[in-house]
This record gives sequence, C-alpha cells and structure tokens, in this order.
Amino acid sequence: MTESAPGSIKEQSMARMILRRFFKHRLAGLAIVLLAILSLLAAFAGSSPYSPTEQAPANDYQPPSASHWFGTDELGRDVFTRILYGGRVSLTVGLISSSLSIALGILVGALSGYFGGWLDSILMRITDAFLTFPTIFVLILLSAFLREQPYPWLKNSVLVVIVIIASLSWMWPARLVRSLFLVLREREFVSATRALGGSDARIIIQHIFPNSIGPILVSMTLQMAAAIITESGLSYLGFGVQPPTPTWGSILYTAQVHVFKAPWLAFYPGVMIFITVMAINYIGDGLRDAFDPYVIHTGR
Amino acid sequence: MKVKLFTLFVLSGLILSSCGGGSGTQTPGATQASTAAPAATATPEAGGGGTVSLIIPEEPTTLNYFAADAAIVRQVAEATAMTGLDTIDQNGEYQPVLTTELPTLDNGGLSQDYLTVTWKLKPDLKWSDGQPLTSDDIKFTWEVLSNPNSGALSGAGGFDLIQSVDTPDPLTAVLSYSSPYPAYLSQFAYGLLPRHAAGAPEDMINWDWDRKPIGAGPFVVTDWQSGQSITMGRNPYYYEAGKPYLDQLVFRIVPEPAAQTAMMMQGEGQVHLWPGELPDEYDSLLQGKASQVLVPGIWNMAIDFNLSAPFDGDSGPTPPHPILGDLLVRQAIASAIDYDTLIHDVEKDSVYTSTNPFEYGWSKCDLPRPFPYNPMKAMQLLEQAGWVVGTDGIRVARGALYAKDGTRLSLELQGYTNFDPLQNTEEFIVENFKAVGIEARIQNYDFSIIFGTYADKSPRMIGDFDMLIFDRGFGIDPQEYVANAYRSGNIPSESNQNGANYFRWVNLTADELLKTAGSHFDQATRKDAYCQIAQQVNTDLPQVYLYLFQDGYGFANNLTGYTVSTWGSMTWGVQNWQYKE
Repeated sequence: MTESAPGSIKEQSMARMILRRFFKHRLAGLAIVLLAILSLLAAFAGSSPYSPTEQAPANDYQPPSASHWFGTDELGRDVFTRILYGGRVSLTVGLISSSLSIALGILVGALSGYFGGWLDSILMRITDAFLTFPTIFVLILLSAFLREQPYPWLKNSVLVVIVIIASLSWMWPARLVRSLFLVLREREFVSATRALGGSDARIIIQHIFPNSIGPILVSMTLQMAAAIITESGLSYLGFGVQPPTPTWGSILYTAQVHVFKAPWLAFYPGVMIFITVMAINYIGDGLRDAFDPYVIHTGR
Repeated sequence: MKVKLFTLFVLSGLILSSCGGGSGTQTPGATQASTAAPAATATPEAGGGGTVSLIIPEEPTTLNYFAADAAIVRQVAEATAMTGLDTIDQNGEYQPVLTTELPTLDNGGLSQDYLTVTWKLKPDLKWSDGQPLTSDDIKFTWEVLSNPNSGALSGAGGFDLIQSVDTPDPLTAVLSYSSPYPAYLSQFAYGLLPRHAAGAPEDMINWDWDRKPIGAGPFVVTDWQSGQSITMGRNPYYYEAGKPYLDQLVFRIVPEPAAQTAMMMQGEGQVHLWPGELPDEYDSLLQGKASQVLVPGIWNMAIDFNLSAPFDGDSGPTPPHPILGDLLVRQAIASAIDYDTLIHDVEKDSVYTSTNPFEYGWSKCDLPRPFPYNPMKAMQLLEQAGWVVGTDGIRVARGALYAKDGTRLSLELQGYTNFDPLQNTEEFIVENFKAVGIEARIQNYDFSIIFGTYADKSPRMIGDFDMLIFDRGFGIDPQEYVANAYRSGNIPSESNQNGANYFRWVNLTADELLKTAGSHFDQATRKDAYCQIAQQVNTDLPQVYLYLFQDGYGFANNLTGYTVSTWGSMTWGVQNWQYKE
C-alpha cells in the first residue's frame, strides 16, 4: 500500500477504501467470519437432532460426549441444541438493541454537542432524567403495566425486550458522543470547512462523525455484551423470553447452582457470550481503522 | 416461598462471580483469628463459647416476624426476638417457654366455655435490655397484633377474637375471647413485643425495634452491615441460666449458591441455609467438614386453577373461566402430569409426594392422588369435553362447555422467578401438557408481583391469571390459613383484599366444614373436617398438589446441640448449640 500516492485516493471509491482498510485488520476479518458462523448456527438450529425443550430427566448432567457435544442440563436436555436456539434470541437482542441504543445516542449526542445552547440544555436534561430513573423500578412499573394486558405476544415479544434495553441504555453513548463533538467542533478542520461554506449536516456527517467513530464503536461493543446479560435479567421481571425458551444469559444463570457438579453448563454459554463480544470488539477495531480519517487521507 | 428477592443489578455480578468459580474472598485463617478473641471472653458457665457464622442467601428486611411474610426473616429473627410464652417442638407439640405451664382445660388455664385463657409468666423474666418482662407486655403484644392498621403479615391469627387482656398481677394475663379459638396456644409462640421499647401499634412496620429488637431470645443484634452481615451477641438476661453456650452469631449474606458452598468448604461458615446441592453431592463436596440435614418442610407445591374468567374486569367467581371452568379439563390436566418422574428425576427425590393441602403435622390426611398420571385418560377427557386436536397438535374447542368453537387450548402458567426447583417443575409439566395437546405458556414474575397485594393488582388477587404454581404452607394450626384459602367468602375483592381464595372456588360443603374445624377444640373432630375439605378439593379440583419441599441445612461437623424441626427455623434452639473449633 505504500506505493499508493495521495492522488490515487480519488480514483478509489470511498467504500472500497474503507473495506480494504477493514480487512487489512486480520482479526476484524476473522471476527466477521466467527460472527457469521454463530449467526448461521443459530439460524439453522432446527437441524439439530434434539429439541431445545424436550426432556429426559433421567439422563441429566451428562458430561460432553459424542452424542451430546456440550453435555446435558438438569432436565436432560442437550446443551448444544439449547445454545444454538439460545443464540437466536441473544444475538438478535444483543445486536439490535445495542445498534438502536447507539443510534439514538449518536443522534442526541451529536445534536447536543454540535449545536450547544438551549438544544444542548434540553437534550442533556432529558438524558439526565433518564439516567436518574432507577432502572429496576421503571422495569417493575413496565412489567406491572404489561401484565394487565391480556395479550401474551406483547409480554413475550423479543421486540419489547429490545426496545426496553435500548431505551434504558442510550444515555451513555449520548453523553460520550456529546463530549466528543464538543471537543471536535472547535478543531481547525471544522472551522476550515465552515469557512468554505460547509453546511452543519456536512460538518457533522463528513467531518466530526468519522473522527469520533472509534470511541463510539468501543462503547457499542460494551453495550452489546451488557444487553445479552440484561436480557436474561429481564425475564426475571416477567418480560420477554420465558422458560423453556433458552437464551445464553438464562442458560448461564441457571448453571450457577450446578457449578461444582456440572461446570460445563456454565462454560459453554459463557464462551459463546465471550466469543460474540470479542468478535464485536475486533469488528469495532477494524471499523475504527477503516473509518479513521487520518489513516484514510494519508493513505497509510 | 423461600425465595431470593432478585434485582437486575445483581445479576451481572452473580454471573461474574460464578465465572470466577465462586472461590472465597477470605482466607480461612482470617475467620479463625476473629473467632479466637470472643472465645477468650466467654463466661465460665457458657459452654464452649465461640463465634458461629451462618450463611444466608438473602438479607431480611426486618427482624420483626409479625411484620414480614418472607421465610428468611424467621431464619434470623428466631435467634433474637421470637422467644414467646410457648414454642412448638420438633414433634409438633407445644412446650412452655416463658410460661410456667400451658393453659389447658385440665389445669384451668382454659375455661370450660373456651372463652378465657390465663397465661402465667415465669418469675423474674427480663428483656434483653434488662427491663422486667411482665404480663403488660402480653397485653401490648395483643394491642399491636389486634390493631387492623399494624401492618402485621404473619402470626396475627385470632388476635381479633381477643376482646380484652386483664393483668391482675405482673405475672398473670387473662385473655377473654369473643368466640372459641382452637389455635390459642399458637398465638404467643412466635415472640412477645415489649411495651417500653417498641412504639405505637399502628406504626409497627416502621419501628426502630424491627431492625434492632429488644427481645427475650438468646441473642441480641449488635451490628448490622447492610448487604453483608448481621452480628448478634449473647443476651445476658436470657431466661435459661448458662445459655446460650455460644458467644456470637454472625449471619453472612451470600446470595450466590456456589460461593456459599465454597465458604463452607473453607470453614468460613458453620451453618448453611438451603444449600443448592442435594445432600449426597453436598456431603461429598464438604468431605467430612459439614453435612446436610433435611427436615420435612411445610411448603406444599400446587397448581392453582382460576375457575373464573380472567381479564373480565371483576375479581369475583363469575363468569366461569372459558377453559378451566370445565371440571373435565381440570381432570385432564391433573391426569397429564407425570408425578413420579417429576418427583424422582426432575426434583431428584429432594421432595415428598403431596396429594392434598394437609400433608404434615396432626392434620395430615393420607389421600390417594385423585387423578394419577394417565395421558390416555387425559386425552379422552379432553375429547369428551369438546377439545379436538388442531393442526399444530394443540387442541381447539369444538362443542366445549364454555369456550367458543375454535378457541385454542392455551393457558398461561404463572410462577415466581429465581427459584430453580420451581422453574424445573414448570418446564417439565409444560412438556407433559404438550403431550396431550394443551399449550401452557410459562410467565414468571418477581416474587413481589406474584405475592403482591390487591392494591398492587397482583394477578392472583384480581383474578387475572389462568394457572398459578407456587408453594404454600401453614404452621402447626391450619385453621387461619385454610379458612382464608377455601372459604367462598374469602375470594379476594375490593371489599376483602386479604382473601386468599385465589381459585374463586365456591363450595358450600367446604364452608360448613371450615366452620366445624374452626369452632371445635377436639383434634380428632377437627382433623376429620380438614380431611373432608381435602376430599372436596380433590373432587372439585380448584388446584392440583404436586410435592412437599424439605428444608435443607448444612451444619459443620464440629457444631453440636442443634435440633432441626419442621415447625422451627434454622435457628430454633440456637441457645443449645455448642461449637468446638
């Protein structure tokens, strides 16, 4: 790449350039592949010879073997199958809710940090208000509201879980993005763009945002891991996914009691969450490299 | 209902600690050092002395037994503030404690018309602050527990029947009842309240006393570190000379089961409440350091059916539930459950078979299961009731009694969260139901919602549920609990918000039998009435009984003198414990 002269940048499309830079980060490429494998496994969970709910209580706590790759749980169900099915919920909830939360956070934080003044005051007070809500009480209140509705689909919908998690976690990215924008909007290149007649939208989207993508992506990877764990916590308050439908968080939680007797029960869901979070992390790393304007424009 | 109140915030912490293998945070040496000091200060007459650590899974919100209904409260409070006039021993017999003798017909303590009870206190009794304990404190206890605004949730049964308490002298209390109360001996078995150190009766749930009680029990709270530990020292004024033998109790709050067992392994705990492991596994993990003792519990697991339509905006017994209103459907559900596999393989024989509400104590009724496991019969009953198999295997109504044609045989099964044995049972019976074409959707809520009040719109209170699964239990005398649960007048409603007839069951025979059981003093007559009520339950099927829990306690092998009892908590008889390091 060292031979590419500054002039050649215009010849390559921006998208191709970003892609090339992304895949130059080897771990990011590997992470994409891993995440794709996990998603495919979850999507084709039905091809397992076992059912995720069918039980054989007499065949409980079997250690990993050829017939049960990840062993069996306290009700004699195949853990591998349950993890595959669990991935459907956990990956969906993790990816979508953290994306939603970040998107909302970026919107609020960018507007607030860039424009400042009364808009900043209003948006940040709203953010503060959300932050001061004791989460547990909001959840109990919501749970109370939902249980009076005679519609099971509303109580048990993954969508509700996603919306709840996103609406209770967008404040952290919002504050992060605001602080990044506060700093960046005073930088010379922003002043230069403004002097050249660049619109606010152009400045925000093309100049400030790419410069703040790194911390935002890191924050998203953290949100995703938290969302997978929070999802299993929510079911304890009567939201969303109820047993016997497996999720990684709930399998992990149930396994705690059996940690001496059947350590593999906690190991596999833990590893899945670990792999997912690491993968997202590396993808975030790769994206940061790919989007870094300094790297792009110097063509390094 | 031994459940850990659970918050979202602790979840991630729990998971992290499980990933860490639940290893203890302190070295065993640290505990030994801390126990050595108090041992040196032990008074000569106090046995071996020493400090005993008790591991409990959750923190009690109060140590006032009467102000709480969570099982954890008694486990701790019994060591300090629950020493009363009498107690119930491990055989289910009343034994005098602070009274010289139990008032009975024979000794004249109970009048011939059953309306007057005379309690005599032992002489020279003192509260743990050194103040004299007199008959006026018996009167005060009645004033508090008979006050409808006291907020009492436990142990207040029959106090409204006491019209007056006379105290002719400091050792004598004469109680006048408006109508006979057969369970009169149980009323003062859970502790007395001191007039000089408590507060206004209507303010009971807010007393400072609730967290630092002045009691007549063997120990006194000396320190309470929220979320960590509760420490108790000896009560120097305890009524039995030379007891308690121990110098100090430390209740350590450890929510995570694996961490609890790890602490027992490292000798950081001597008593372990409700271990997560079954006895065999526990004993082999603890390798001679401690072992688990099981005692039949009082918590009786059942599925309650809502006989009335949910979400109809009224909590009363009409109109009937579109699906469960039909007795044939309830019989089919009862026949669909594989009880043997549930008890032996799912619950690993850690529970006993239970077929009816009366499974322990003197009122125990040995009844056969009304509808043993028979999936073929379940399917026949459903066909007969007008439910035919639909395209996806779940039945739909065609000519059913109340349900419109085309209604799916789909029911919600509500339970409470964070209690593995319950969840395993739910998951198992949902599969049982599926096998005969019934869809059951598990919907678990936090403990506080499932057991919430009418004002909180708890589903069981306002009648907005299909099936509920939880464990219920009563003390030595069933009357108060059973009358509240089965009397047709006790269906929870706007005007009767404490009713516990969650099934919305109306059975006039049961009403009459409850009257008989509640007004007779002859135990045989009462037992007969209770067993007939059980028959009515098993005929009408407002509920189906599954199994009875046992309470498990882990005790270190160098702790002696403990007694486990169905009727007491872990700390019942703690004054007799002795510990050798």
